[in-house]
Amino acid sequence: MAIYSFWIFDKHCNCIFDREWTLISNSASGTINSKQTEETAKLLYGMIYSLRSVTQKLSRDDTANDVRSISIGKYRIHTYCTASGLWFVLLSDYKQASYAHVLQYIHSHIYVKYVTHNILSPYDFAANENETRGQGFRKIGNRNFISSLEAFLAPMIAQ
Amino acid sequence: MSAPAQSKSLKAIGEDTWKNKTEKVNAELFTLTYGAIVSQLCADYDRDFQKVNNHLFSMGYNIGVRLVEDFLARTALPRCENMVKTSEMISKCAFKIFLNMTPQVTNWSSEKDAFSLMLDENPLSDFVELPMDAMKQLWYSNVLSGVLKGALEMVQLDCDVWFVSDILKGDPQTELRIKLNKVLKDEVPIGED
Amino acid sequence: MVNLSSNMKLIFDVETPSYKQGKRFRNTIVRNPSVMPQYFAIIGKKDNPIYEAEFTSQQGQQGQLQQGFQQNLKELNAFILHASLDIVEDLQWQVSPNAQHGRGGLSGGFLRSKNVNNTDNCYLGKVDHFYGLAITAYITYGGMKLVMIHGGPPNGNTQIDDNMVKSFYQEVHELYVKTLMNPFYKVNEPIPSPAFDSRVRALAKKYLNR
Repeated sequence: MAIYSFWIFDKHCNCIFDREWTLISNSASGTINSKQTEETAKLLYGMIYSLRSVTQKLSRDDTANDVRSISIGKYRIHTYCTASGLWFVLLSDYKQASYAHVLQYIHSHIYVKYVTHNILSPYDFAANENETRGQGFRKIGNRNFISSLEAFLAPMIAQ
Repeated sequence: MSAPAQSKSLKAIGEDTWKNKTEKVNAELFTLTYGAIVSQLCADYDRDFQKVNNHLFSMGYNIGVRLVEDFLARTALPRCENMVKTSEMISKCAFKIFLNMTPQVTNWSSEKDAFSLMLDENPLSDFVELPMDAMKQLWYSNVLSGVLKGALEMVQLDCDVWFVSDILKGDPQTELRIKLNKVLKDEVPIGED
Repeated sequence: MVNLSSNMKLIFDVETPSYKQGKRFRNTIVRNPSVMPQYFAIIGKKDNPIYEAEFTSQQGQQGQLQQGFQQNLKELNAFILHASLDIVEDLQWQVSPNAQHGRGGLSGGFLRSKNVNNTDNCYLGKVDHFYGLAITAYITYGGMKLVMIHGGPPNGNTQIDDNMVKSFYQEVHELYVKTLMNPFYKVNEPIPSPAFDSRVRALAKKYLNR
């Protein structure tokens, strides 16, 4: 199984973290929070947002429906959305059907531990009104977060 | 039929998470730490208890916006459809997981948008006796109202939370009231609306 | 200056009003310990009293409240207590007579009482006496001294039921610890709470005035 990239979107429609791996063989390759991925981030957000709003309208009874994965051409997009508006998105190949447990682990043990519980790190990455609705630019720069994320995902980059 | 089954499983989720997935801390240490915070605030603000109340509320707000993320990470629960479910989730899961208590939900308003939580035991205020001047004005556990307001705001529920009565003030029970103002709309990227 | 013999007479007079009714009271008083009053105080680290209380039993003879201590003597109660503090402090820092040699000469004998010989050594027993009044003491782990004067039958020395008094002290100690847990209470300050006062009095009724 190979992972191509990992993204985090917050409730202000901003991408607050992205990690792309360029070489399957090298888990240290690729970019973190680079500017070139901003366009991709917006497109990714738009697609997930549209599909999510359609699925929510399609839900029967009272149970809320949500998108879990989107299969496209050569890769699969896995999403994990929390009630607080955070989206954890993983792009991978077709080998594994679900990364929900991986994304849930990243949310509960890496994001919550290093970003939420860190009082000195902002919980809301949009500092003012102008940075909401997709216009924000702040990213997670927390070194502990990045290194533990790398350590967790590195074994899954290539197989 | 589904409502009682779901509320039972909420209770089971709360208890299971409390037993297995939480690290525990000594209750007296917690109580004494909170007591030290409140009494130091009273000294710092020169016994102006209104300011102390507001400060406790804002402290609670900052705790709540982060605590809700922790709560969602532990329980992976989705957003609630209505205030009834919200109230059950708060009392059966949230209070159980973080404070090991289950307050009762009562006093629903007619439109089902406001309810009260009756706290029969409050770990924050064990052994506390308020001095005479504080008894009239200080809401000792006001941090709880801030926590709930912050947490609910992060799941798009704009609520007012306040204490109605408090045993420390001499009232018969401790009552916390939550009123929904409006449901905040999820943000839409510029250009999509 | 107070004439002590006249005080003794005065004690006789007040504690035996039923004498005037011609009743045979002497044996009653000796056998009935509930007439014994006590004056109890908690003394802080700077010798400041943080709590004082006088316990009497309400005999209610002819609707009258038995005065515990005679009016003149009442003023001396605080002085009597404070006088005994020296002895209490001596006992507090007394080197244990059982100190083992070779473990460093002074092994910091904390709270070794001459009278009481057991492991939990907060209770010091009867430490002093003043003309027939006995004074018992108890030291908490934080150095607060709980002292009490036991008034008694005017003839002879007061008999102290060690066990009951010790239980009383231990329960007051627990109440004191609960007071300390209140974040609004600063150490060494007077204890203003009426709840504390009423609970101490209830304990006094239970253990001291059977």
